[in-house]
Amino acid sequence: MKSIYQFFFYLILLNLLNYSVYSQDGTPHLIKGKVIDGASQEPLVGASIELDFKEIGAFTDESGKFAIIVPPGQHAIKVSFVGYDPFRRKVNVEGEDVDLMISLENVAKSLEEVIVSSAKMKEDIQTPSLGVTILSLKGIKKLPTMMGEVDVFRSIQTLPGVSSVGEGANGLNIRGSQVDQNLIFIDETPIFNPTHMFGLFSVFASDAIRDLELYKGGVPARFGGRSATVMDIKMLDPSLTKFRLRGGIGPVSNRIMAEIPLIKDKLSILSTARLSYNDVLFRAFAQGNLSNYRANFSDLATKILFRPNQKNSISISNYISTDYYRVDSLFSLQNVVAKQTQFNYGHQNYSAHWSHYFSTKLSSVFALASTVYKTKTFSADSINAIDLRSSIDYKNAHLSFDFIPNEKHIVNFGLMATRYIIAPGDLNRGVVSRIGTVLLPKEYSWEMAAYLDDEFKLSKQLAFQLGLRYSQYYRIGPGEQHEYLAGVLPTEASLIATKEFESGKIMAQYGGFEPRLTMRYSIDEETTLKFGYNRMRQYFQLVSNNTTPLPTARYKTADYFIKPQVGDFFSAGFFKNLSSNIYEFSVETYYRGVQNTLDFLSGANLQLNPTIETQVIESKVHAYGLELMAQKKKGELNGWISYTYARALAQAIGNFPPLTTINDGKWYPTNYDKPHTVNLFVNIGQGKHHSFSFNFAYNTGRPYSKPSGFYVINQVSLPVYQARNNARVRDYHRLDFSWTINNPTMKDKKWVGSWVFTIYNLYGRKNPYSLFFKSKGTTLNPYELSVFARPLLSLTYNFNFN
Amino acid sequence: MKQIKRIYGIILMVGFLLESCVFPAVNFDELRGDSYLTVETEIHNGDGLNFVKLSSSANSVLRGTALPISDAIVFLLDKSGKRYDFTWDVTVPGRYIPAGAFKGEVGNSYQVHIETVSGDVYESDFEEIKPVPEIKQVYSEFKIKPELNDVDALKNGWDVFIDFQDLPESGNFYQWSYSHYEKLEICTSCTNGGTYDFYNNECRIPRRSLSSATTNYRCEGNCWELIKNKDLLVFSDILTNGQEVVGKKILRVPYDGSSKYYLKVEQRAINPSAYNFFASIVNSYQNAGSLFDIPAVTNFSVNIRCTNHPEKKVLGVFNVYGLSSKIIIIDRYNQVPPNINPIKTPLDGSIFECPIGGPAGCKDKTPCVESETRTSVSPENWQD
Repeated sequence: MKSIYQFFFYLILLNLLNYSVYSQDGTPHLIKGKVIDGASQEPLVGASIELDFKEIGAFTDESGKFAIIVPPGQHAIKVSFVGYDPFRRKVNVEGEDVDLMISLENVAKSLEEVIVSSAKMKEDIQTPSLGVTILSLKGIKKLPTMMGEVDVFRSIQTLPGVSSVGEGANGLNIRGSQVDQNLIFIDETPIFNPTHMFGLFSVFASDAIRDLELYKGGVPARFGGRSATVMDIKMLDPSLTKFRLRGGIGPVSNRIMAEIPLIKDKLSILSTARLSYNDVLFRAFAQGNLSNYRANFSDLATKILFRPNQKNSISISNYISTDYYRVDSLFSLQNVVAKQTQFNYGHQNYSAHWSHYFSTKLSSVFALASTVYKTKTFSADSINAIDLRSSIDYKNAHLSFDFIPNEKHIVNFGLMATRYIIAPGDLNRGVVSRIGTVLLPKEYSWEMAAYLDDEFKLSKQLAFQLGLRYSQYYRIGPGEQHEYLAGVLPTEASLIATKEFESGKIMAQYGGFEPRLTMRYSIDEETTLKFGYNRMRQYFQLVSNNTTPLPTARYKTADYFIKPQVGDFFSAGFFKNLSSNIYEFSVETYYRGVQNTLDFLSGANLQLNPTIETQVIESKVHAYGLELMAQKKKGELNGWISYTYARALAQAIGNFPPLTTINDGKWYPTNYDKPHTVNLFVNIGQGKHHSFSFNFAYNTGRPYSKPSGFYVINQVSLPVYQARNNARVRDYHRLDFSWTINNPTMKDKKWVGSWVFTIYNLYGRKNPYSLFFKSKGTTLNPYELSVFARPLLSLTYNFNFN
Repeated sequence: MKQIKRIYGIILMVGFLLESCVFPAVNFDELRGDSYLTVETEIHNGDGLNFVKLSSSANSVLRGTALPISDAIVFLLDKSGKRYDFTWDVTVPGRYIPAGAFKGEVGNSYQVHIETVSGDVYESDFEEIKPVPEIKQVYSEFKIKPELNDVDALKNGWDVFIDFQDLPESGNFYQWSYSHYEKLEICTSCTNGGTYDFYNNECRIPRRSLSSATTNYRCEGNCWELIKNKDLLVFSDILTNGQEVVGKKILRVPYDGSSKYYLKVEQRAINPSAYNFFASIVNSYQNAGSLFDIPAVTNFSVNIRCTNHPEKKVLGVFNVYGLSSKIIIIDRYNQVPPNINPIKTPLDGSIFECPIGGPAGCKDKTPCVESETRTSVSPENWQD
């Protein structure tokens, strides 16, 4: 630790010395110049001149000119003027006067340091979109990272309304959503497990991301299948004209991306890869049993863009992720004797898009998408071999049209069909082992949808986005449906018959309309009010009662017993831009109610259970909140501060109370209910070469179940829990720091490198993830689990070759 | 380099949930709750003790105490209606043992009846003593765990495994328990400057004593400390029906001495209600402290209920099981690589000895007081 601090101390010292080298003799010379407005070329009167980091009381005259006498040598000059980005330069004064022409950029007219935008530009606050946030990769990269990994998931948690159960959690909770209620798309193919290393890093190779659109509300009708939010990640379109190479070397993984035009202006390919090298690190740094552990992950993404003419463009993209772990028996399956367990899981996503432009008014996109997510849990033990596999096979066809009949309407409509095949668990199929074979039947289903969206400008003040989606779901055979004794809790004991369905036969069907509405009323050009309502249906749910789901968790499509989720969402917002879009303020409030979410009986057995419906309690979730955000979007110092008040509560009564109730059927806080959240992000761009950023996060501690006493069995004290989630862990707060040095050589070359130094959890707070109890003698002691309990330093090298 | 190692240590450990970042909770506020009758039973066909233990649960976590319940009327009924009375065990508060000769029979079913002094009557379901397969073998393997701290006695030690043949029919549930007997040299340790009062058989600490000295007294005669497993070990044959189960780890024996390590391993064929009860404790309590915890719950007893106040909840389970056991004595010179020495905990304080030629009637040895964790009766097949 000490040596790293020393290294950075000397680095800073060297930098400072570099600016303070003076020649001690020789004739003084002039540094003179003229300061003008970069856009109008008009002289700027009264701009302040600083020399060698000191105020010297010099200002520009009426013609924008200045002159100062300096000794020979190198000098640092700074010119600043209110409302303009300052100018900084090192100037060598050797033998003659130096004449500078200094052009300052007006902050209001400069490009935004767009990191995040809920109403990206003035024009955007005038669109009806509400609860839509756009993050650019450029913006994401400005946020301090954890272990040098640019991470989409970690970045968007700095936004109001976005959180997770805790550090290292596998999934996000957005405005009170459960992790499976968020649709995560990468180039229109869904991601079912969005993280590597059980939740430490998100799966997306950041270099290939163009931007991320997060629909916290105001979800357009073209999206469906989840009851809460949509995170739409778009990959970069490869350049049709220029070869580019970029990449990075970090402490956890290495990345590379190439954009290669194959036929100029017609055909191009983009390929990116991220590969962790933890195996090497485990061998080198881990001790004892840990050195036998393995933890590797990789991402590979490719996109081919073909534009044969102005009217057609075709793109084919794929995304492949893999994770492999080898750990001791900690994660072994229940009731299996295994010394070591291995995990392998990943996505294989493919999509093809054909965009056709009929006219300036009409265009279409036809897309085919496929995602296969597979998990494998295995142990190569020769006697007790286990091989447990599960998979989700998703296929989708989507035809959509954009139609702009006139200035008042922008219409988007389309049709889509999705097929799911879920293999919930195959244990030891064809494997010789003392561990038995369990084959759970596959689940087949179809989801069809038709939708129409119209962005309708009624007047300059009033605009609507009116959408309607109709979705119809079919659970089809082959399959089995259990029948239970009427009037009693379904259990294995009350199972009386199993009904078989042939291939293609409808086993269950659900459907309905999903209205979407967003309305914007402009008070003036800088101020708008918005209102939104969504209904969304979800036919596909995660079956997990863990605090955060394991990557191998089971998914389930709706059937006779498990009803689809229906979510209703209301939101309203007030948006205000100030000082020519330098500042933006927003206030948003929302309410979400979701029916038919899944909760589970206490002590539920979810592993390879053929009668999973006996473990499920149909429950409800409701969430509401208020989000305040202020942003400074331009200038040397930019960033935002946000405060969120949010609640997410659940109620589980079930069909057979009190056996199926939780907390006596009262509303109780979900695991991710954190009422108060504050996020502060500050980015300081000191010229082109250095930038510093700070990120501060605070939130109320998450709920946990606090025992009200203990009982003793076998001389062990065991907690007595009388209610779920009746207390909270200590509040969470953390400060991160990042220092980026761009192009350290300061020379214009094809190869441009940059260094990023980050400290995550700068003051090393031991933020509790959970609180649990262990017996010690005849007493019961509380303990806290902290995920990153100390500062994490990292240094990453990134490069760009153009 | 050390820093890099530390960083990777964090990633590896966090990634693999080794509880490396576990700290005692700070600012923990107590929550007061209700007390419940807790019932612990061991009714079996083996040679060991059958008992019913009653206590009332503590109503707070840090300051509460689980108090033993005495003066209750406790008896068993078998399926033929024969009654077996249990009486209060004077050596262990709250424990009731058979008043006469009683040993469970495989195939017979039993029901427990409890009547407390407050008039509450509790009754269990009838639970059967299931046949249990014999333990095929118990064996140990010496293993070093370098990831553990150098002063941790479990760093070097023996992993103990068992093999057994599951019964052919499905739906068998197992529980393992072990008892380790350790022959004691010191029977009493008087702390804070205290000395042993041989008249009242207790340590006497001077009033306003500022001393932190500890005086230890050797045992008068043989005395063994009984250490039982703290972790619950249960297993269902749902995935291994009829197969030989090989290499089921039971415990880790520390290398904290050179004496032979006496271990009695019990294999129990338990009922589904007991399995579900213990499995829920394993899942929600024993495995707690990872990123993937399941909701912490207390499952109240499903096979014992209060008959005159049905709303009263009961903790624990009426555990009735078939029992087979095996004794293993681990020679702690075996399998140990050269240069590996036992990690012993040094004795705190001094040992009191009567001075040679000291006063007549001077005593320097204290008796072995029988309790749940201590006995003067030599364990079966004991080897010095």
